[in-house]
Amino acid sequence: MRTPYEAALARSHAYSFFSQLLLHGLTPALAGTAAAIPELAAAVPAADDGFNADDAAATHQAVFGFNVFAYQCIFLDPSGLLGGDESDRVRRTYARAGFGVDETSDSPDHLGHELSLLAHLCGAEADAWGDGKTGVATRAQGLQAAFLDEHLLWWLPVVAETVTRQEEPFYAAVAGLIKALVVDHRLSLYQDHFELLSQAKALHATPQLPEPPDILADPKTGLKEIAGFLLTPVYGGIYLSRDDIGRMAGAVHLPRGFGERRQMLANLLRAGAEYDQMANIVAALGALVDTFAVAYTDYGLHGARFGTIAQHWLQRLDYTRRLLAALSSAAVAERPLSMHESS
Amino acid sequence: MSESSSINRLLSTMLDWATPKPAKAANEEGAGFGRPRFAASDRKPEQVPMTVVEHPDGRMSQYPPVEKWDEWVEWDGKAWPKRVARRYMLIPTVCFNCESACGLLAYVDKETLEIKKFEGNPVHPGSRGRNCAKGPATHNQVYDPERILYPLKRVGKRGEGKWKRVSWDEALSDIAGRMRESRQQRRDGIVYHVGRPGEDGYTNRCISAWGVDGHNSHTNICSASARLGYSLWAGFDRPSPDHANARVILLISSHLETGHYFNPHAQRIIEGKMAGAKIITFDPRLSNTASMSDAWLPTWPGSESTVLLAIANYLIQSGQYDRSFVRTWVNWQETLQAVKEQKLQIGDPNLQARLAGLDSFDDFDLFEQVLKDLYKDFTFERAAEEAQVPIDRIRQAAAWIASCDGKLATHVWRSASIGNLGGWQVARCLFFLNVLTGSVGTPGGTSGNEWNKFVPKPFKSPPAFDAWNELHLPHEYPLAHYEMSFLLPHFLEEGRGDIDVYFTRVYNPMWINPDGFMWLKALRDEEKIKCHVALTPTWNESAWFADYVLPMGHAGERHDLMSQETHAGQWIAFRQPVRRVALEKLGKPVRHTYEANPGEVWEENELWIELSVRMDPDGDLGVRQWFESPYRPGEVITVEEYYRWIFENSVPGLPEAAAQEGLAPLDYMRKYGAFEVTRENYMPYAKELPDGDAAPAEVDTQARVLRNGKVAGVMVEGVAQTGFGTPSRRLEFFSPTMYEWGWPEKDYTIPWPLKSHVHPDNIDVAMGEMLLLPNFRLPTLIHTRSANAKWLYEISHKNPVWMNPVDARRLGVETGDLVRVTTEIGYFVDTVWVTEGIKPGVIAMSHHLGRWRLEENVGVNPGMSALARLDEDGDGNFKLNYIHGARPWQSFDPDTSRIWWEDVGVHQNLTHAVHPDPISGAHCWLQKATNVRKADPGDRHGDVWVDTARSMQVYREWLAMTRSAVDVSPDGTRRPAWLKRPLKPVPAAYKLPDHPFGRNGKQVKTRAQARETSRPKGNQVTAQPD
Repeated sequence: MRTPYEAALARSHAYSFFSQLLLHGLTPALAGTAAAIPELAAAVPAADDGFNADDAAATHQAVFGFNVFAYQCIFLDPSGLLGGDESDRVRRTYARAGFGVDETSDSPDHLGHELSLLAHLCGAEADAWGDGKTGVATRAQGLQAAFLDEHLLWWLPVVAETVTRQEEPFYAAVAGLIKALVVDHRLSLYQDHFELLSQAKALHATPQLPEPPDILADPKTGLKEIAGFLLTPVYGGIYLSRDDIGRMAGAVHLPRGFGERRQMLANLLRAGAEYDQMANIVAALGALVDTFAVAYTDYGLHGARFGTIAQHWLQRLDYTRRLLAALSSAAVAERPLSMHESS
Repeated sequence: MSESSSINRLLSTMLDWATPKPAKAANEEGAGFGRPRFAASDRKPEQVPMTVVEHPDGRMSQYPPVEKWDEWVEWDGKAWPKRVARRYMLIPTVCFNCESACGLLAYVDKETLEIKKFEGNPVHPGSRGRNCAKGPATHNQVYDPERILYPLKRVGKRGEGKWKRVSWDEALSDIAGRMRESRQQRRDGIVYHVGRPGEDGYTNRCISAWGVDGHNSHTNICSASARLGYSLWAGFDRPSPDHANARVILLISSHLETGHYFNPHAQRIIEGKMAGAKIITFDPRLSNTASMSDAWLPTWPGSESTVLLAIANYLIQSGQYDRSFVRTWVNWQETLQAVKEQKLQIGDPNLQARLAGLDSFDDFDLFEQVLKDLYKDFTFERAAEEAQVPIDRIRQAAAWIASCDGKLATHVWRSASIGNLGGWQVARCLFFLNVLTGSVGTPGGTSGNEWNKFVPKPFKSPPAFDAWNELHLPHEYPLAHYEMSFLLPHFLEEGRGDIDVYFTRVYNPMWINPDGFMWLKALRDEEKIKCHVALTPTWNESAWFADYVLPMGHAGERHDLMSQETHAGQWIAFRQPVRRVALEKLGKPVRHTYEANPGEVWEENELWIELSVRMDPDGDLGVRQWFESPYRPGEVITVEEYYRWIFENSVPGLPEAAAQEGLAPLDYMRKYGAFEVTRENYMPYAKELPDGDAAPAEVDTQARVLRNGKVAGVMVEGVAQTGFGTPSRRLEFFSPTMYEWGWPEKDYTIPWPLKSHVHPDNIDVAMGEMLLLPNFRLPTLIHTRSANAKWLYEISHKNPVWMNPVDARRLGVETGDLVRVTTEIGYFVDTVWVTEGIKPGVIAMSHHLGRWRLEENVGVNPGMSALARLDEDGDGNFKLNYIHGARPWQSFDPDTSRIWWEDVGVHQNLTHAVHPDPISGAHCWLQKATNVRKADPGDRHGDVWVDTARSMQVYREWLAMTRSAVDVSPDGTRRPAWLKRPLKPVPAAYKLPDHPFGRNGKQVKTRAQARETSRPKGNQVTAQPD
């Protein structure tokens, strides 16, 4: 049984470790630690002649440079773009916590930075326990809980599931551990630890995910709009990486496509319509939706707070299922989608 | 295994974990990278008298007064209609987007240190506050979301596209170690390959300090031909026309005033025109300049020399030339001696016999008779027929030139000179008109660049190196101007050598050179190019095949000192890292520029210092000494100290001007960014030699003034004058150098047209052949760096094939149709633009377009390049296919999501065979399109196919035209000592190699043996068997 001090310190270290992994990849300095963690040890890339830092750097680039853009804004902002309101919201939270982040290479809402904030807050908590300042420690816990409730918990299940899907065993294991660590952390922060902070909490209302537009009701909706919808996680409830799209295309023997994801998916849908593969593509997307649904449902089992969040995401998956059904129907109809091709 | 047990173990493991140091230290002082943010100010803009610049063409512009540059408040136009004030520091710097070195003023936010905009610097003597579109677009480059921010090191195989970020320390240590190892073993293993230098002398000093023959330029795909033509006349190798004061402006230009050089020239051309000057333009394409001209002569490429000589003949036969000037400054007596000795053949046997009987030549009339005899066949009719232009237009141009009154401003830089086999004679024939009209260095005439450019000396200079790089100046090209850079892959392929450390500096050889797939082969070969370091602000195709990609700064992110021949005066301009300067003004000193730049973007000045010192940490190589401070003996110099010394000691008038304002010279240059050294510098060749030399110790038989055994000037009408940079110190009509170095025919020794490889005799339109003119550029392009300037790319991003309606009808194509253009080594597919702005039989494509990348997310900007697939079959056949064109992309810059175009042009250079001129060494850009037809059913826009085996074959065909120094050198040296090189080695290095490449181990022949065996008898360029 760990003392509060030890628990906070261990969490701080763990968050710091994962933060560095996400921001910089598996460097030689981190490889030893990764190998000491059973869940990661089997997946730590190794070569016969020792750890290959170059390959590890390239893998990191492949996952987080080309496929999964692990920014809160990408997952929670309706624009699906960097630098929007979500980034500013994160930046303001950092400022309240007295946390500075080097923004020279990554936006502050990168998952690595968010974990870094948690490391900072847990470290502060540990320091407070060590100094015997219970009040300060409790306040630090309150800030941790507030950050989790306002930010990370909302997009954690989506990003974790997305990373897990990228067929890189090491980062899949990392994503699983991060999710488990965060859930465990939040569950450890009992309500009575930070009721004193209710005033502060009131200033930062729990976010609500924006409602997705009913694009099915819009007669101008075309394949590009559908692709855009599916690639906006906060609307469609899923995240599609380049490799996800490529895998779907490969499964139905259509061109993998290139370019930005929106273009890739639009081209895939168009090719599906042209080569009579829409039903198969819809089926593949449906399977993907099901995968995310399992992940959200599982996430919701951790408690009411998680259940509420999971429900939001599951609602989005419901709409996406209806959208896919409409797409499938249109594909088999004599006259395909009334939706035009261009926007 | 439950989650709770997993987390339990994880936390147990992590409890004692010691956090390793982050991979990158936070950049505390420097500006971050992302969408720039600007601070609102409570202050309001003041009503202050603005600095008003009234331009000679009648324009007027206003600028913030200099005294307010440190604290300038103005409303933010983007915030309108809100009135939001911003506070800026205005820091001068110098544009880096062409060689003109125009002045810029960076508006740096005083709180956030972000750059709001770049505008003109009103105190810059060359640009005078005005800029072309490329200057303000520097802002795009600085805030390009796809720029390279950190040093990258290759992971995996070259070209695989895997990179990892490394620290500067790691990169420097590795590269410096390789340089040291190379330098210990050889003097030609380190190569610095530069595109446009953008600075004067700094890097060349470093290369000299390394003690290697390592300079390689892009001159041979740019200006080599023109340089040789000018050099043979006058010793200087580029012109400086005084457009503003000219009566006639004659431009042979598909390049220069249409967009390459010079915003400062363009200003002055219009000033000249507004003052009544006539503008004449030779160009097969209706360029912007041609459209503004009084006479447009759409000459068939390669016929320019004939037209120029027809005008010269008109001046000579009608006596409308400046006899006094020609008699004073041309080597006419040397020419008559050459005729006497039958080194120069003339047609009139009586005149020949008369000259043969003379012992000396005092009668200028004889020279005039020789001129009349030599050029009598160059009639307007002949010129009109060869050039395929109306004869009246040539007559009109000749009449204007005849009445120019010594005010003929002329310019050729690329275009015809770099386009044609023998193009160097175009420059020579053009300058012949300056000579005949006495328009040399006069107000309104044409000067040498050296007279109008000022390059101050640094605190100490390394001695010449004792080395000769065979990969740069091989024995086959003794007269090349300069290095045979575009043949580097062909030389490597032949096994002529290898390179230990190859720096490409703001240069993309694979993309910009002809025969790009040969470059791909070379860059990929780790045996031949062992370490490739790409110094670049942005991704490019060549960097993709580098081992290190090191981010270098744009115009506002680096130090450089520059001067250019914009007009008849002399000035220097100081490029500065503006955020660094702003930080220092705010009391926050910066040690290295990358601390102030975005990410870890650095500058070459400091990089070379660090690299050189690490290359020779103990000083045992003799390198380190050149990088020690003149102010702190034994310690490594800083970039400030380097320029501080120059400004304090090497720029006449600068210390005094600074003192008047109570400033140190360095602070003066930091404040103003430019300094005018000389307002006017006309006819410096006619200046008397300085006191003490007026009564020279010795005058030789050529009337040259010798001082301490060295030529210092020339006696003219009894006065010792400076003269020109030629061996005779006069303008050399007849070139003894050409005669002595294996080109004795009249075609080469005097201004004369040479038959181009694209002469109409070689283009059979009926057989589907056409002439491809690839060497012009739309005015907003910057080689391969415009791809990081969104404003510029929005203006021009595609390069369709210009085609005359006559040809379009013949081929059955309309604007927008695809055509397949087949060259000697491959083909490309592009769209057609049908226009009467191009001569029938000629098709034209702008270069600097057709950028591509091989990975979606790495490489050139997605909005400015096509995603391509590159295939090869193992037999030397390469295929490039576009997968898709430009696309909008997501970044912090919302404009990147607004890319509305897809067509980013076609990379035509890949299909261009190399055409090395056997004399100047220049790549003759004009291509024979062996077939132009409507695209085949399977063809797609952007398709390129090339057979590199055929590339090597064409290379060898052109190589065979050379006359090697091994065979023709008059003195056993590799090259005439007086001809320029960017860096000259010691005289001993000029000795021909004992075992020249390709001579099967044979020793160098004697000159007599060589002449007996190798001198061609006719006027044609003949093959030289290897």
